[in-house]
Amino acid sequence: MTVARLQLMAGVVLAAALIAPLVPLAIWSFAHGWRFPDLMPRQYSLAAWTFALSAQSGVLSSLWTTFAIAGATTVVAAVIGLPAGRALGLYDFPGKRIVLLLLIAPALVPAIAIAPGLHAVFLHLGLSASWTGVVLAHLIPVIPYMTLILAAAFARFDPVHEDQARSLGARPWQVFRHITLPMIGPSLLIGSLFAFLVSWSQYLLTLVIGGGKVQTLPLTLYSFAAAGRNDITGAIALIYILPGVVVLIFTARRITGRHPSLARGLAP
Amino acid sequence: MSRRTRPLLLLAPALVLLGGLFFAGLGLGLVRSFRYMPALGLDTPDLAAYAAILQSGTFLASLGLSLWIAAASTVLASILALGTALLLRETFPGRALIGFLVQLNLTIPHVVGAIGILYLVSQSGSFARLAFAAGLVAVPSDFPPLTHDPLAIGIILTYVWKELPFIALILLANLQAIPPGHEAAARSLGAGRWQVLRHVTLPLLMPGLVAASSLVFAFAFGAYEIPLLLGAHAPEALPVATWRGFTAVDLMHRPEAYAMAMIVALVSAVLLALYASFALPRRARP
Amino acid sequence: MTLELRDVTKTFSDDASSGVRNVSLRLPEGQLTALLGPSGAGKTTAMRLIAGLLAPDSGDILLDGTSILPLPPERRGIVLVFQNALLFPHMSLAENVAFGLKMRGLPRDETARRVAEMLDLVQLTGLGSRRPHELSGGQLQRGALARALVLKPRLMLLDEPLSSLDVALREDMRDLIRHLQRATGVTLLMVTHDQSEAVALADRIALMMAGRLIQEAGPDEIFQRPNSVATARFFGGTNFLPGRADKGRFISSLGPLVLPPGQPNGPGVLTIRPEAVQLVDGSGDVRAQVTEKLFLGSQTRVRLLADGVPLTALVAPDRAEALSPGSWIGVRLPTHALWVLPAPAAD
Repeated sequence: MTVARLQLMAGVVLAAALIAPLVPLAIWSFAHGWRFPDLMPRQYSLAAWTFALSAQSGVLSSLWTTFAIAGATTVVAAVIGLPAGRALGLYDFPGKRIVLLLLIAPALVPAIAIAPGLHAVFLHLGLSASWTGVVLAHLIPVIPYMTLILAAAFARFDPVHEDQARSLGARPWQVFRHITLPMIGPSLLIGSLFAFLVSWSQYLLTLVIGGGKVQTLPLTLYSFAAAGRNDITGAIALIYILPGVVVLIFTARRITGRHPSLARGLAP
Repeated sequence: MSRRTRPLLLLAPALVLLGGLFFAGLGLGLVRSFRYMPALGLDTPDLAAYAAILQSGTFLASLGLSLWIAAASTVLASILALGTALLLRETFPGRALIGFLVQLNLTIPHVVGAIGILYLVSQSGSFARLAFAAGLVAVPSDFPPLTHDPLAIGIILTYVWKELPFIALILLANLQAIPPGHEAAARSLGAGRWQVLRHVTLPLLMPGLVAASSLVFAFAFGAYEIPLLLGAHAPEALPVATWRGFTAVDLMHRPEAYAMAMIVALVSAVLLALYASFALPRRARP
Repeated sequence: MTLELRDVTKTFSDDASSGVRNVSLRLPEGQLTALLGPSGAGKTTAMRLIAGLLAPDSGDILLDGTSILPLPPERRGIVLVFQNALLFPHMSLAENVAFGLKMRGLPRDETARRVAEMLDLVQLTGLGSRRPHELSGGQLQRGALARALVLKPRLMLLDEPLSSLDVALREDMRDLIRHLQRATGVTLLMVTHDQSEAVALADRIALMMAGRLIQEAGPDEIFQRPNSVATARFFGGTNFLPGRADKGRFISSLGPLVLPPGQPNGPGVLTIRPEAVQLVDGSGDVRAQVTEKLFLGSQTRVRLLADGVPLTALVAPDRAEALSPGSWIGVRLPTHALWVLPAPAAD
């Protein structure tokens, strides 16, 4: 067999494997009963979608909650990550390795390791069962990604451009707006995409800090899955992955060129 | 503002926030794992919680299961990701589509992947139905249990499905950073395709692969919602056991949950050290 | 517009080499002054201090008699053009040139008109829509000049404007800077480490070494009548003879030499530029033995030893043809080319 045919076959297998788990979700969302051993449902219906999109299911309000929390987390992470990324990308200072380790730890240590302690801390702060609390908790795994991606961007950025702009009459905020921001813009976009997705996918931290009061989409999805409502679960799952797909298509157009855009955020 | 204090000032918001939340949560968990909870009348720290869980067969089984899940997922995902990255570097029809699917997968939340795998491989799932159509099984219970099973196959499949693209994209970024001359030079020195892969490409990819693998191991070891959906009741994966212990009605069991959380943190610390030794340069930029 | 630095000092705790110490300097209006010195002399620091990108530890910087230290860089009316042109990569050439006007909130049509005018002046007509990566090194440098000049600055600072260019382009650029300065009447301060560049371009030269201003004078004067051994060395001086001036003569190990009028009495170092040293067939002022001969193309460099004193002469190649290491020759040191420097302080 030629190399080209091997590549093609591997590609087909890979594509099929990547799509496979999404297929039953999609079918279930349109199924009207789908019993073993039927390969496909005997009857189709829009009931699951109608229910999922109705006010009574709570899916749309969960969607909004998840969106707002992920959006707020991303904005706060950018505001905190920009100066931190600048410090790590542009300066060398004693203890830099330690700072890097401290920054990476929250992304690598699983939420369960800190969840019990965090629960107690947030109770003390009076932040549990609140949106603010959930956003703060989501920042823990998000800030490391944002900061490290921006640090890589600042390491490629020559700050003398800022001095040049200053000398040409730009005030400090104009320098940021017209020089710094556009020059690190692609990385900020990728960092924000990561931040959004990490918050968007968060389950345990929302459960721990939200205390059932902050109902995001993964929590809603889990409760329907645990209740065995496969059709509604399928519909919610598709609603849940839609924003990620839209954002990916949008950013892929803007930043990738040849390379997968997310790979740039993952580059060491 | 001197050149020394400026970076620290810029880092302050991030460090204060992470310190106030992450390290406070970790620290409080550590204190309580020593059974120091004055509010409950426990005011002498001791190691009783650790002694209790280390002597409990249930805990050791949970720990063993989570280590197995993490190890199996990491090894499988790494090998397949390496192949995927090498494939994505080539030009072939459909490459753009696969590149898109790999990235798409990265945006899909784990819990969606877990449910998808559940509907695919459970005893009444799509694969079982295909097996029925092929005449291999008659009833769902004939199909081998791949979810809620002792070997945690469904959980491992979910992690492999989710983390393969993650590792592949890191490796692809590393591959694209390899100067093009290296591999060509090795070929011109008489190395075959496999020898180039074995002696040139793989060693250059190693740091990225180890760094990505330690991230994946830590995640597969500590994630909660996937074993919650796909795992068996006994033994439970460690994260599930930890959170159940914490939310148990009897508050006197909480120190044991804290101790389990600290064990997870300890395993993560080892992985963090591994990650740092491969992914963080000794000397930062001059 | 007159810029004045008064006793300006700026030191860095982590980099001893690049500070400036007690620098006082006046820039004459409408002229081109070159700030010359070896790397690490503090030239760029001086520029950044004037531009407002650094604050001095002590001293004052005045523009037309008023201190500009309280003003941030963008309000000083002084534009610094950095080395390597540094056009913003995410903007077209025209957007780059328009940058400062846009920051000031100038109306669009006027901005466009002035940008077009300026692109014409630097001979980049029609290239406004190009991105920096589509421009050559010389075009980038012109763009950087246009971007600064369009603001009609009170003072323009150029940091090594020629160093990033090929030798072939330097002369064009030199002419263009000269032309632009005359056409606009802008006061210019240019940092350079290349003394030939400074001599060819500047009305005045300020020589800096190790953070201090050593001499400030016109090119002729600083070249012919340096005020220290260090200055003379920097301008290619090679012949230094310690001794003392006494009643119009210089007494040294080469015997008494007649000095041009106006030289003060006392201990000093006699210098003569190598191209002024003449090799003659007779005995000349002193006899010397050739130690080395190097053909440099349009000139030949001859190293000599006269009574234990090393001398260097740059002579026409045919004059040196018959010489070879070891041969003896007469050396004439013409009176009009002799110049006495103060004896360096013992250190």
